[in-house]
Amino acid sequence: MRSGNPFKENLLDAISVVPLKKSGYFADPSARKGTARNVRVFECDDPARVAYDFQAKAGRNYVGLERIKGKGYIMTMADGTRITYRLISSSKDHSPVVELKVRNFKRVKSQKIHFVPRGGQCLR
Amino acid sequence: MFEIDKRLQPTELELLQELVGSTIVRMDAVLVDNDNSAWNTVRIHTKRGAVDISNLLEELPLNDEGDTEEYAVMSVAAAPDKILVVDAITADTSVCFVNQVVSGVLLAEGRVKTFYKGELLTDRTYTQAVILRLSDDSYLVFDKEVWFEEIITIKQGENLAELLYDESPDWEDDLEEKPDTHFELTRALVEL
Repeated sequence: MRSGNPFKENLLDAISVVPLKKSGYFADPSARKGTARNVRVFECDDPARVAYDFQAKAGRNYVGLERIKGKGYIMTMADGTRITYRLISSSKDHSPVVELKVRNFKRVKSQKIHFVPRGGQCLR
Repeated sequence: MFEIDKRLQPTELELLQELVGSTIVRMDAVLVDNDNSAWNTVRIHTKRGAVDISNLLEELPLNDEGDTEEYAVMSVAAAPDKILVVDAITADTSVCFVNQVVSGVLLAEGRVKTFYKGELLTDRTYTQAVILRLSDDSYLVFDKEVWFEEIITIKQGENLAELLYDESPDWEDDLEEKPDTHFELTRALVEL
């Protein structure tokens, strides 16, 4: 395995794309009734581009990458944090999703972030 | 109110019970991180046959407004006694030789009750981890960890409490952002 960045080294760049709350979660909570606090929604003008930009910055200098055929890929960081990028999710509006399974870094919590158009319907 | 029971079913439990007394020859898994994170399935080979422990996303009811959410759900099935192939991901299959006898099987079962403005919305039970106790008194744990990933984390050690994933941060209340929502998480350890 090659050397690479722990996730925390990429945090400032990731925050430049999607804001991080003091709770350790990015973006805003999903407004759907009953969702866990670690389901997040980021409204933006170009969800595909912004999701791509976010995962590229969050996963910069990963140590491992495996493709999920036809759907996206999983990056592993030097600290064991896992970033899963799905270009098209299985949710109703097929929005891009970035999942973070964070290890060894308490500032950020494990979470699932949906990228939706401004005024997005299904993940309001 | 939705009652959702995604624990392993009796036929799956029988497959696990049949492991007791058998020798685990090897495990196959497609690892996503060159460590211990398997993509969706681990195949356990014994001298009697093979069993797959899987963790796959399923759409489950979220509330009374027709919304759903994808949760990773564990399952167990009989498998062919040949090397595991997982087409969904590009990594190669890794094989780990174990050669240990299973002395017992336990399950970690989780339960999350979701309340909205004091009213119970969903009561969801599920299998969080399959645990094999080995003859050297260590535990081999297949843990699905965070609820939204199709990953099985494979762990081995002697302190079961330390091995099992702590889900509580995933189900914390947030009085600032979601003051109307309340979660109650409980866990039970069940020996088969």
